[in-house]
Amino acid sequence: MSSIYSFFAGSHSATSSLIIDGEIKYVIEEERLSRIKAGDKYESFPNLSSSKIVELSGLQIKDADYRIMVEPVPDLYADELTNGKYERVSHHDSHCYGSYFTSGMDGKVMTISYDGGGDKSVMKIYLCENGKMTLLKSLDYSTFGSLSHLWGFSTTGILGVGEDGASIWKICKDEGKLMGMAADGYYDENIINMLKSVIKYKDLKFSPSTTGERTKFLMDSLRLQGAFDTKEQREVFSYNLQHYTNKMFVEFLTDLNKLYPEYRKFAFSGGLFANVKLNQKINELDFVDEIFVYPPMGDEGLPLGACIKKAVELGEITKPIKLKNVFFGIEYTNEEVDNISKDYDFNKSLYVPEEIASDIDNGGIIGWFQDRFEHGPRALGARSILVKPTEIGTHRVLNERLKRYEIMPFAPIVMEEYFDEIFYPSKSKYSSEFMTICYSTRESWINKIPAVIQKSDKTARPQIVVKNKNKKFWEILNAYYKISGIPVLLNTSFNSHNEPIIDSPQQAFDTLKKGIIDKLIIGDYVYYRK
Amino acid sequence: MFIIVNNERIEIKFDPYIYVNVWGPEHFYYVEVREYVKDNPESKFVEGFHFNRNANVVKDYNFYFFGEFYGDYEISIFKFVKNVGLQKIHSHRYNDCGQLVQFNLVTDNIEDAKIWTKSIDEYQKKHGCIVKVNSKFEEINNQYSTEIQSPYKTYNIGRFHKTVNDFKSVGETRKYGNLWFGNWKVFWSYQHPRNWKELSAKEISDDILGLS
Repeated sequence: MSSIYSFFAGSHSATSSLIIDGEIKYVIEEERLSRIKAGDKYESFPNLSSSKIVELSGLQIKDADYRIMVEPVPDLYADELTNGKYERVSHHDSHCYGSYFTSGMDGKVMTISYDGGGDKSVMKIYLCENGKMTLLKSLDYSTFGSLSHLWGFSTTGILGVGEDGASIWKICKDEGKLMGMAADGYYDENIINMLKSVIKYKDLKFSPSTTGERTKFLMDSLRLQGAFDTKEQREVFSYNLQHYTNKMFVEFLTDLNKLYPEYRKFAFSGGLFANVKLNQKINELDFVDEIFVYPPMGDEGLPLGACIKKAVELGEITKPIKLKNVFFGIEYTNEEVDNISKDYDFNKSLYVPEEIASDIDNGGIIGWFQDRFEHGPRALGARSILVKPTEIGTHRVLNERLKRYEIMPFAPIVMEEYFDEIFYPSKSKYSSEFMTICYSTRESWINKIPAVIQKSDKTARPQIVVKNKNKKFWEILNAYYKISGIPVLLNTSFNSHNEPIIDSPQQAFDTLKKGIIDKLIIGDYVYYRK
Repeated sequence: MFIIVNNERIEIKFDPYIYVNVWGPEHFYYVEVREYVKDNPESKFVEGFHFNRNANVVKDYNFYFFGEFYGDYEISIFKFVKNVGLQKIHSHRYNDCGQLVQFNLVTDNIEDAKIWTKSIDEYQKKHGCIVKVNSKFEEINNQYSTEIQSPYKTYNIGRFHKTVNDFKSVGETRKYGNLWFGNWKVFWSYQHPRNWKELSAKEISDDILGLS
């Protein structure tokens, strides 16, 4: 039985992880501690996160049985961190092992990673069965185009650069804004044709392999011609970007299915699959029985994937598991919280779900701070803000308080028991415990929960809440359901716009103090301003 | 080498390294360098460059690419056309057949120089180029005399130490800071494809001339 540390360093999304005896102990993204979002710092190192895991686990990096650096590796830094004793693991292997071995899938599974590049690949495809992974294809960066780069450089190009010379919207950070805008656009053949001059799909190949540079050129040219001056223009571009992406990737998957029709389950990872609208299209395909999107789908998920790969090689993980949650971060004891709260002048009372549900029903904005913080980009019930989903006016209030862009849709959490009543298709529900796929909303529910439905296409990105996996989160939903008849709440991440999701009670208390939230639930207590 | 294509005047040179310039009515042009590698019909992306002559963003007028060793490079130039996107206006693939290629032998050792001329002969046979050799050894230089003055390409053959700027190369990731995510090649300086300290003289020249 072994202890395995793994790190991703030298780029965006620096992260540290620790697995002991095949059990995930800690995964901490550097941004949570540095308070600088991954996309805002392209040269980041897991100094704070590695130190924190050492502190929490009591296991020095040098004393672990294995130390793994995920490719690409900044050697000098890796030497310092590990005293020169480390193994390298492939970037895309880390993505693929992470997604397959947390997919919980049995039988034949096709595992695909796709991103902007890592250790000379942009994509790997594995055929998997019973815990065995066989590499089918590794598609190299210099001959294979990247849909992630198409999105990344569309994001940086659509608004251009600010006064500081940096792009206003950032790669690996703001792609979701384009995805959010896409629903409000419409089809334009001319934009599709222009995107075709950047990247095309044919015969299992996206080409040419210069997607980033070509996208930059296209976006600069369009922007300087005034093609993104208005909100409508940006929406139309985004719509066609999403449409073209979906079309190409569905063709690609369909061609793969013709060659391997027995593979009807898919596990995905890599930055491209942060695109929940693409995931929705894939999930709706007839030949797809189930998809699973690795919850930390971007490069922040690499160290965990690398740890899993090593544990698999050691025989300490033998088959895909189902995660109960992704709460792999830092936890604070009641005593610690209590001590910190003394620095603030708040009222405090015992948490009663029915009372908070009533507050929510009356329009309250509630901070939710429980357990260890989540790993990955989504707030999944450890660091969340909860609001009622029934009034569209909630958007304005939340956007103002959180300083969010109007274009970014809010997501619902839904009790497992009512998912099928509200959303369809009834597929890939395990993946949706991690809010990774969009679904269509049934007609009868669209007007009941307008605050969490995308206005134009009536889709939502639900998180399914399962009672025996997150009882407390389920109970607040249930309490609200008893009051309102609505088994849904609006859940947004506990942070202001452009900040990472919060880590500590201080950050939560500060949010309450600033009036961003009305009440704060930490552990078994409610805090509110006097 | 100037080429006029419609309204654009394009200059492409390979000597001593890749140089491209474009003049025309557009503010923007995009240059892409790709390389064909032995036994692979697919070209690999090497570098992209954006000419930007917007009056408000005056910068980068010329594109240099320090690929001094042999590469079967293809250089393509694009412009933006509304509703079409990137439109290729010119493409040129490295072709020194019938052209003067100059070889500088950087060594004091005549044995090395003699070995390297074998690679030069192989290169000449393979490419059909006219050869001129410069070295410290007249008897070698005289074997390759020509009246043609302007080379299509010049190769330096020798053992070249790394410099502080030589971090972005094949297989080289030893760096503390920001990383490159797997470009096929990013030559920003004079880089041997393999570590010359572990190679014979013939292997060194074959590497430099793409004969390996």
